Amino acid sequence: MEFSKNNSALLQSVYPELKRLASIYMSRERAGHTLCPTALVNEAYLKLCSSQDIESKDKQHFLAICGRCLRQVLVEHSRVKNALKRGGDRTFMTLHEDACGDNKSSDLDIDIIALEESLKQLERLDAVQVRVVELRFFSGMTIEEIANVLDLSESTIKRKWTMAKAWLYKEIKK
Amino acid sequence: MDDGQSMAIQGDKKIDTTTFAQIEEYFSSALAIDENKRMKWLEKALQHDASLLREVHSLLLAHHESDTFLTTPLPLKKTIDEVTQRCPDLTGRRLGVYEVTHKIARGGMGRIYSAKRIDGEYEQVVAIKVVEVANINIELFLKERQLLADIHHPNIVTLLDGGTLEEGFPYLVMELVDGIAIDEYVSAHHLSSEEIVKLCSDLCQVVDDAHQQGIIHCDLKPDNILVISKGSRQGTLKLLDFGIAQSISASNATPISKSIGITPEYASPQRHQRTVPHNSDDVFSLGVIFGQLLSDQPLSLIQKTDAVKKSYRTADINALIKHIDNKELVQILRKATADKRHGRYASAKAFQADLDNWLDEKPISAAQGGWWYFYSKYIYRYRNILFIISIFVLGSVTLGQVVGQYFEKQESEVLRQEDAVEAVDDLDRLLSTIPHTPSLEKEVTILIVSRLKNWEKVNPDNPTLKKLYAEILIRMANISGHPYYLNLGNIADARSYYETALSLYEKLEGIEETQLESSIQKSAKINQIFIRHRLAELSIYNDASSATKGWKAMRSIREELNNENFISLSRKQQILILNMLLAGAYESLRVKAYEESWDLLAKARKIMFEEDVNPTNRSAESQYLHAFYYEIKGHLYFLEGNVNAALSEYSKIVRPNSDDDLGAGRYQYLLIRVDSASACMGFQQKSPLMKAQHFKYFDYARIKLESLANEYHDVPALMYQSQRMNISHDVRTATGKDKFCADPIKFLLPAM
Repeated sequence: MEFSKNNSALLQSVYPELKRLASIYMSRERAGHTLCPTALVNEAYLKLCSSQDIESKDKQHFLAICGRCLRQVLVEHSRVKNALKRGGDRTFMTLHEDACGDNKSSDLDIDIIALEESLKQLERLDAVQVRVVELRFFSGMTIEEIANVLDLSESTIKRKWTMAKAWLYKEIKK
Repeated sequence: MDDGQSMAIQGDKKIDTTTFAQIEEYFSSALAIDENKRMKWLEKALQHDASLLREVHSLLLAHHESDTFLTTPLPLKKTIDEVTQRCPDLTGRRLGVYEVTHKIARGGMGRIYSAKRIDGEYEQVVAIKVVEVANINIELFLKERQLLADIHHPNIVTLLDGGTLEEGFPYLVMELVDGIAIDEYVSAHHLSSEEIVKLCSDLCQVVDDAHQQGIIHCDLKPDNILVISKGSRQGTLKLLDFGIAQSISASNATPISKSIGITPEYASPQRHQRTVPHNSDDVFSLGVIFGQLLSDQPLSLIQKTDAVKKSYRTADINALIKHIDNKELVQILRKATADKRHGRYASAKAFQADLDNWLDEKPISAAQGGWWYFYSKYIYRYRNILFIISIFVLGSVTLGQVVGQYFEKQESEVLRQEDAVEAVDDLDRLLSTIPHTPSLEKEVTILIVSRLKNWEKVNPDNPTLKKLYAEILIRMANISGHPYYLNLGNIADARSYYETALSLYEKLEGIEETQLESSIQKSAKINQIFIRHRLAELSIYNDASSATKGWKAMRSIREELNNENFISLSRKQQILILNMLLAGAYESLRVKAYEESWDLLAKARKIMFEEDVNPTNRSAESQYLHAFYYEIKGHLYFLEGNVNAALSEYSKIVRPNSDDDLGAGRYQYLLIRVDSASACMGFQQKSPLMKAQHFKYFDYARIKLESLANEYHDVPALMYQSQRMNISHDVRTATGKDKFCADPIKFLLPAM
């Protein structure tokens, strides 16, 4: 899937915003603060889009872009966090994400960096599978929506998703 | 990482895209086949390609295990869906007894409408605020509603009603304020400096009232401060938009409270760093507003860099100051907008007091008179103050000489007990007002000491005076040379202060037999034991030969404690016991008596958590003891090689919001030790990456220590530690750093 060119402006504005927000989240002084994607996206979205209406087609693109950005931001965040469990006079971060106070995002317990590395390998083997994972896991789209965005049949998306899931799981657990 | 390692390996051969497509093909086909026959089918289909079979097989296994893997997407879409839900225009709609007439404004979070009451009961025009976006902001909004409902204040906008639209958006019905923003008001009415100061004083009062009710506004700016500009209530302030106000009492570290946007022009440096909101953040905003009103200038922003080299943009106070003629008002402005919390007015009330002082032509506390200015301000409460001040002003004598003469004059007088209590209170207030080094604290405290000494001499039978005197002496001893405090490194001084205090408690026990209840006698007894323990602690740090004596003394004191029957100890007495147990546990680390240390920790824990109060209600002393407990536990794990457990204990140490809360320097020193310990953990890490990262902490810790050592230049222990760290740093190699970290005892415990 290629995002249309007129979305590149959007992409350019989403990414720095998400990044900036992530760094703010990380710089919080007290212990136990972890990156909370919900709050992150919320802020980014409010900042960028609350003033303009987004058409539903654009919205899907925006969502796809956000998903990709979120992937990057999470990876960077995890890297820096692993690197700098604490910085300056900051206190420690817990080693595990404590899911931002709500229990919805317990999947964050997965090792984002390991996932990223596996996704990069997968990219070389089957780029479509990676897109599907991005749209499914990071953007939270349904199979139907993904089929729409990628212009592929639903059964193909399903097959790609099942395969990607099993392969990534195997790679990460290896 | 090398590709050869990270690629999926099949035998020794990398998988290419063609093979991968094949794998996918067989994998999908296999999944389509009934589970019972699946393996058979696969083995048959791939009988000629063992490696492909292995690959597909392992994928199938992974498929079964990966049931829940990645199936819960990140909440991105849900969030966006919620956010994009739009609130309809409310014009013309009826909400309860109100009918919405027209939109007044649109803010970051929602819209504000004007509405009128239509139930015929009486006429009333109100403001209705509705939040437009869902999810997280609704929580904020509900919080605002609760906050407003909780506050009843003539200068804070009144909440009349609230509800939720059918579409799910909550709204507030508020008093409609017919006013204009404070800055517009000031320029429209051409207010004089005096009038502006008066208005700001009123504003401080309102904000302080909110603080008293546990609410920090967090977003004070002219737009949120309306002044009624006509009618009988002209000049009345109305504070709006508690949209991001924080309830101090509620858990104030929720992600919500931290994710809030700030208005950079008015936000304090601490808000820029997104620390937990604090009263002093509002003081800062009030200061900026004050400066803006006084200078009648638009605010400009200036780039600043905080302690960790992060830059942020904030109001350019200096640009405002150029336009303010009055020197004292400039001093007030500077103090209100000081970068550091402890340099700022401690409360909106204190800010107001200085504004009022200025109006009344009294000396202001922000004046740059050095510490004696503050001292003289507080000493004002003593008698014959004019005597002191006059000498001070007339001659270039030192404060010590002045006070000496003053006390000489007073010596023969018999003073009341209340005077002594008041003097100590004054001392505490003074010390909490000014940032101070131990030597300054000592210099000021010594004034009280000499006075108490005389009083004690004149009133040998007064137990209260004895106790006060002894307590002050213990404080003197602590800062003079007790190793756990940021101290002046003078062990001999510390010893003699402790010994004097000890003799006082002995005397106290003597007189009490006939005159006092047994409870106070018990207290005198425990205090004696406590001081003897402190003396033993000092011995450990004195020299090698006395260290052994110190050990023995500490052990025998603990045995004595075991034998004493201290039933129903008061909280104060428990704290003394805790101090001893923890010091014992701590010093046991030095001789690797880990068993003993664990044992003492367990004992301390039993007392400490017995009637543990809510952490936020702990006294400063108790707060410190908890931190100390976790420090020792962390060190123990560290020394036993369990790095993760150590980090986890360290992370339980509460980091005070600001330096103000650090108390008598013990806490600060404790945090430095913990920082150094974590900085050195790199050497326990196996991976080179982790090692490199820990070197980074090392540098952070080093820089922080260096700045503290500069601030507390009179504390030899800090200087020594900082030098050690810097020497290690200069080598700029792992081995260089290793020198600092090589001997854990040297950074886990205070330097000998």
